[in-house]
Amino acid sequence: MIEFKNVTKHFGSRRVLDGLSFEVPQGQAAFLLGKSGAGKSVALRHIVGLEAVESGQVLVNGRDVSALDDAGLLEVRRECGMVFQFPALMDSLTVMENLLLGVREAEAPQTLAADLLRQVGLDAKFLSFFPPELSFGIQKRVSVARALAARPRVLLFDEPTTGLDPVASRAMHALIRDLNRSLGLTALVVSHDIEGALEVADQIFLLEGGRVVDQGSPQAIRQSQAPLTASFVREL
Amino acid sequence: MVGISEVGSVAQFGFRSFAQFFRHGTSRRHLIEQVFATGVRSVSTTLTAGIFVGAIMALQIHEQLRDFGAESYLGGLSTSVTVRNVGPVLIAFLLAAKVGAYTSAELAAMQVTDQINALKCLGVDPIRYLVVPRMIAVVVSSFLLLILGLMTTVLGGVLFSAWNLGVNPITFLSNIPALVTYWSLGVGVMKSLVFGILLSVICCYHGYFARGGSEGVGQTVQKTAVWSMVAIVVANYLVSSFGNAVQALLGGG
Repeated sequence: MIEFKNVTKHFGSRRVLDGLSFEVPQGQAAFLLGKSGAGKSVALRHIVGLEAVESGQVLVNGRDVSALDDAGLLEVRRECGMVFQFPALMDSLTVMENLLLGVREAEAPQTLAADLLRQVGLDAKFLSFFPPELSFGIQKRVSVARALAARPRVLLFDEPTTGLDPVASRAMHALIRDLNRSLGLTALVVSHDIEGALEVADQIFLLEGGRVVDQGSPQAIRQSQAPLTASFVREL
Repeated sequence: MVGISEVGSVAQFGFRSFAQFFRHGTSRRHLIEQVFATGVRSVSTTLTAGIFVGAIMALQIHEQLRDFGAESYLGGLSTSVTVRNVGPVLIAFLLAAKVGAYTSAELAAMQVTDQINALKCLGVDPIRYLVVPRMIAVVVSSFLLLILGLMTTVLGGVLFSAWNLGVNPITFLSNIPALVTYWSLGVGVMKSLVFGILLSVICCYHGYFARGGSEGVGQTVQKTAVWSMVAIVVANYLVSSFGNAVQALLGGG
């Protein structure tokens, strides 16, 4: 379970999060939707301690992220696999080496890496490739596989469909849904793609000015009269 | 005040990274890759620069000596000045532009594309994994390239003097031991090491803390170049002063 309780964050004099509060129960898929600068990615980065909590609380499975020491933060990071907007793979390492970066010990590394690729719909032949030899879409899938390596309970996606064509975007949404349903992972996705959110999410949160201005199930969001929500739904 | 506080941050970052190296060592594979990327690929540039630095120094000093009819001192004097002062600085500038810019741009690109954050999320310490091998590689590469560059300046001086000034290479070389002391060579070597350390810390620091997309990478490279060159000039003065003070204390040299 992920909980934000009245979280505020400033970058200089600019308030990026303004009393942000929401919660995502274990096993659910939630989307944070909003325009650029709404604070979506900043919120996501708070969960794994890439941004320090200024005020309020961010709880991951009941643990307050801001109160954790390095070891505690490492545990939270292992519980929460993070997929960044860019694939963020190491260009000088093979796909297999990238997948095993965060794995301390593995009895059969090759099998483990191949299994991770299979979970994201990729063939084991890609294990020996270097990231620059792969398409952007495949690199993104590899980055999802890498996030799965530590067997997380939560997957965090920052704009997972940015840079992907419509077909690859749909495939990415299907992958998020499959991982959420088949592995029982909690998924929190930052996006501005309302179509994908309505298709995949159990719960959608609309952010504006660093706070939640509307929320609900996909059905409720479709019918919402909130101005921001309506402007997103009109894009469909 | 902001500048002074950033100097402190750079120093702290350097200490932290070198402490990691002395505590945990570094991956031999990554170190070799980085020495190749920063060092081996800079050999030809260093050799070219070294030859011409030596030639310029020989030309300038020959003009001065000619007025006093003391051309026979050309080899010793130009080599002494080059090895002790001008050579290390000019070659270090060149390395700041090549090795420093390469390393800071690489780390900055990793920062702005979240590769460094991805490592943190995977429980991998990016200082240990990315910064330490690069820092050590830049120190090793810069030091060796500076030594190579200094040796090449002597060659440049000999060749240019023979070809353009009509100075016999044997005369040029035989005059060197009279004016180039072990102390001068020691100061040149010490400067090479100090410049290498400064370069490595500055380029890794600016690359690691880059912000703001592709524009941020450009600004990082610019900052690295400016900081490195200023640091090299200041360090050149400090090491020279230190060298002179120690030499005076020891009574000549």
